[in-house]
Amino acid sequence: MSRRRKFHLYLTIVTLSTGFLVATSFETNKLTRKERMNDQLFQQETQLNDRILAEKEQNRHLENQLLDLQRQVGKVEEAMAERKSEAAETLSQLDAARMLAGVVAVAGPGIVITMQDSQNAANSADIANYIVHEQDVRLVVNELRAAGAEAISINGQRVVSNSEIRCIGPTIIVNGIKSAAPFVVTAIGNPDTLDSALNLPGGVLHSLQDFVQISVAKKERVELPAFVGDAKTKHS
Amino acid sequence: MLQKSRKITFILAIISAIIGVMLTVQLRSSLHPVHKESRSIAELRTTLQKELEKHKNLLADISKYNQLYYQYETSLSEDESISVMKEELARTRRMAGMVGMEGEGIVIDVVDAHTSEQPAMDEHMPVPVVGDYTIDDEDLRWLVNILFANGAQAVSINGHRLIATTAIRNVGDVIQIDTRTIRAPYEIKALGEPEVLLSALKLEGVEENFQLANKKVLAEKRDKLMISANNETRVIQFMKPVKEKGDS
Repeated sequence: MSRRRKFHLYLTIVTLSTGFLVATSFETNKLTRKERMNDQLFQQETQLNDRILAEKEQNRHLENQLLDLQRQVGKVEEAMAERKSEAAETLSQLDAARMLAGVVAVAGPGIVITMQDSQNAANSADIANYIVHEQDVRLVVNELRAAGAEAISINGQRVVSNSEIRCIGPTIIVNGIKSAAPFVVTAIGNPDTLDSALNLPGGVLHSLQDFVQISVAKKERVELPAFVGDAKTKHS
Repeated sequence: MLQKSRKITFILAIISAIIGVMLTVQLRSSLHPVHKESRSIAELRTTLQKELEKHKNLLADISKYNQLYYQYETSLSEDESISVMKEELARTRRMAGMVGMEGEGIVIDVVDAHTSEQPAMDEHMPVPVVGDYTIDDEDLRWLVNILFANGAQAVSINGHRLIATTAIRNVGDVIQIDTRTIRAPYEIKALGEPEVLLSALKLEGVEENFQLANKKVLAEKRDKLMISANNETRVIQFMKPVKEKGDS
């Protein structure tokens, strides 16, 4: 009886280990196959990532180059303006036009508005109420314009005369460039005027802040980037 | 007796083998969760594409400024360089919307669905409210946003050219564009590729949306369309061009 018990015990151990072995080899096999596939994807991903990084680096260089060039042009123009009053007059008009067209980076006092979906959007019955829509961003931008904002950018994209503001899913598209939440609207203008325009009773902030996260910060100096790609837009 | 104990052994063996397999699988899958990497690839591709596009735009801008610089440097007299500057001014003003533009595009008329066509009504009449809704500022903003998203170069509403700082908002019962009041019927002109703009209007359901407000949307293509300049004069008080990089 005791021998048989022993035998049973051994048998149990042996079969248990066999089961382990079989399953392990099977799993490993499957895993290596998956890993190989993952590896391929991973390689592809790293390649893409590398290219994006390289491209970004290059774009930064080009941006600097463009800024340098603009500065050089600016110097030549200023030198001309110093020599001749007619040139000075034209230059001041040119500077104003460039700023309004959005083709130069500008800085000045202003306001920064950050909009984000409400944290408890997922828990509420009507989710659509608690996420930031494109019309909300447009509403804020429109209010800023009405309050005399001189220049506006959204997530680093300068808003120019033919800019669009669109949302697709959780991303926003301005000037054809996609970026993710939070949506940061930056405007140059009188900070107090802009702030109070947004804070009017029954105004934009009041109607939005019950639903989405929105914060307003007055700033002594904000910097807006230039709109890139004006050369491609065809103007008849 | 022997028969029975064999049976038990056999069953025991099978059960323990199964338990072994189950244990291993469980351990395996909880120790090494399989990562999914493929989702981000499509996203990365779009990012790359956007960067490439930016690259192209930057190059175009650089060549433009290079050309300008070259023109300044090679101009023989001061008068010549001033005329170069004036040319640049004219180009920039066009971009800022301070100059009228001409080209192909579309004209969209938003008219009352009931009244027979009399577009030129008395301008000082208040807007008759038809149906439950009226066209409000967001409707117009939505409409022009669709136009811009589909490549419109310039848009004007009832003759008011929209620029980067133009606000469209309800003031009382009427809609104001900047400081000017506009009244129905609305006429929106857009420069751009007519087919693209017209199909965008269809795709986005502009007609259906405006129908709720009892308005008819009549859009038609024009080969030659003139959009006037924005003639609001703006005094720039707050912004200054950034001349130095990293100057903050």
